[in-house]
Amino acid sequence: MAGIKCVIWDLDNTLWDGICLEDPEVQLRPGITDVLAELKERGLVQSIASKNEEKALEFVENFGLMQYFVHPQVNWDPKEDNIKRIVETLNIGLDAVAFVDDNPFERESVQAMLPEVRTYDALDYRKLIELPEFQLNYDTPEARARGRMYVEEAERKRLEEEHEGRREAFLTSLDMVATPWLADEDDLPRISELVTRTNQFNSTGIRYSDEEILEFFRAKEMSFHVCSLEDKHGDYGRCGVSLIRHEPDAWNIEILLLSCRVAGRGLGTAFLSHLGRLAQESGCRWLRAKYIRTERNRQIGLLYKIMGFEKDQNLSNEESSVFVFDLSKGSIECPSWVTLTPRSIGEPS
Amino acid sequence: MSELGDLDTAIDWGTLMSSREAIETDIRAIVSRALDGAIAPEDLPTDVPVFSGGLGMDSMSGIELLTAIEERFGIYIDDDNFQIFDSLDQMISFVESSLEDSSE
Repeated sequence: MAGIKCVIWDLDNTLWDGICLEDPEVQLRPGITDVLAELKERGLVQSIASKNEEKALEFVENFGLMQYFVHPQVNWDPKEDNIKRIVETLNIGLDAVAFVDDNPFERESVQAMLPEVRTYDALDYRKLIELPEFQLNYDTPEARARGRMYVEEAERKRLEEEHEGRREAFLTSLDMVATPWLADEDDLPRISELVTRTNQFNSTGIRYSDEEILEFFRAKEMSFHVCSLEDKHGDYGRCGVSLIRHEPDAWNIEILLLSCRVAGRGLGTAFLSHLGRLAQESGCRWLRAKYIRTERNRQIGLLYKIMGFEKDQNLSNEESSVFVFDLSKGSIECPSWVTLTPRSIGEPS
Repeated sequence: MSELGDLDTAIDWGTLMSSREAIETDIRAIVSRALDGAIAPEDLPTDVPVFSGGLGMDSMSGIELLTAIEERFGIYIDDDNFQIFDSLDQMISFVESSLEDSSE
């Protein structure tokens, strides 16, 4: 079962007892603040979907709880519409969403319209943090910072919408710096985490186990590369992973993973241009990329197409496709708005 | 995603004979929309790539475009067919032949 990335809370009779617009003296449910704080500490992002007047948010504010929520949706729209709005802004899948509400009608309605969303009775709020799907599977700095990163991302989105002119000008204004390096042992938990969590930008969709990842890491003919990204709003941490299988004349990308938080910023292209350059420097002619189509990863196939890879019909079969780039004919260009600063082995982070 | 799919001029492709002009009109509208209207439908060149070196679409808009075409015409675009992004001409021809295949 996939882990929960986002918890969406109702307000009345969920965060507090009673209905705030009828009773200005409503009291928080005992221990609710601890639950919110613990979920935040685990890097889960939290939001609100409440059928209410906007005034209800003043109660959230006065209880000192606003710090826990991003994109609160307080209006009279159906909850499923509000959940969809939140999910789109955060760019996560519905199957990573938990919805907590005291009202069985609301839970059933969400369940019917958005079957991937997991719903929980507000009465069970204390038990949430005990459930397996709410655990932090990989305790990495990126995981614990996730809530903060979603807030930074919201700020970027707002600026992007404000930004007039071409998208490229907006991307240039972000001052993005991508730093790739050859992974070492310290990077393995983050690699495992991205293998487990990444859906859209996962070139194969295969959920390798920690043991398999360790085996790849130790294999002589394989190498893991990771890539971090920073921009003027903050640090995304390590958000790209690639596993290369080396052959005398080719670098074969067995796995390419990009955190969905960096989607659409050119990191994939920057990372691949770096890998292409390394392959070229080691005297290889071919950069090949394995691609197994899943329901959600078509962007990866398109990415290869966009960068000028061609499908290799001989190496492709029904299960998987292989895209190939001929490095003797040119290089993969890094987007003009991303500065690549590769870190060499042994250099401190 | 479906935003690109529901164009104002709804045509029922299941019952209507497909003509190249009608397909082209629709594709121009869809591509222009995927480019956030940066190029008007009638001004789109039909002989340059949709991605880099051409119309400059990225993989995010690319996936929107792919989905919009699939929903619009009720066809499926496999990674074997990615040559459709090499030019609007190829895209139009691909849709045309896919619709012919499915009406047989």
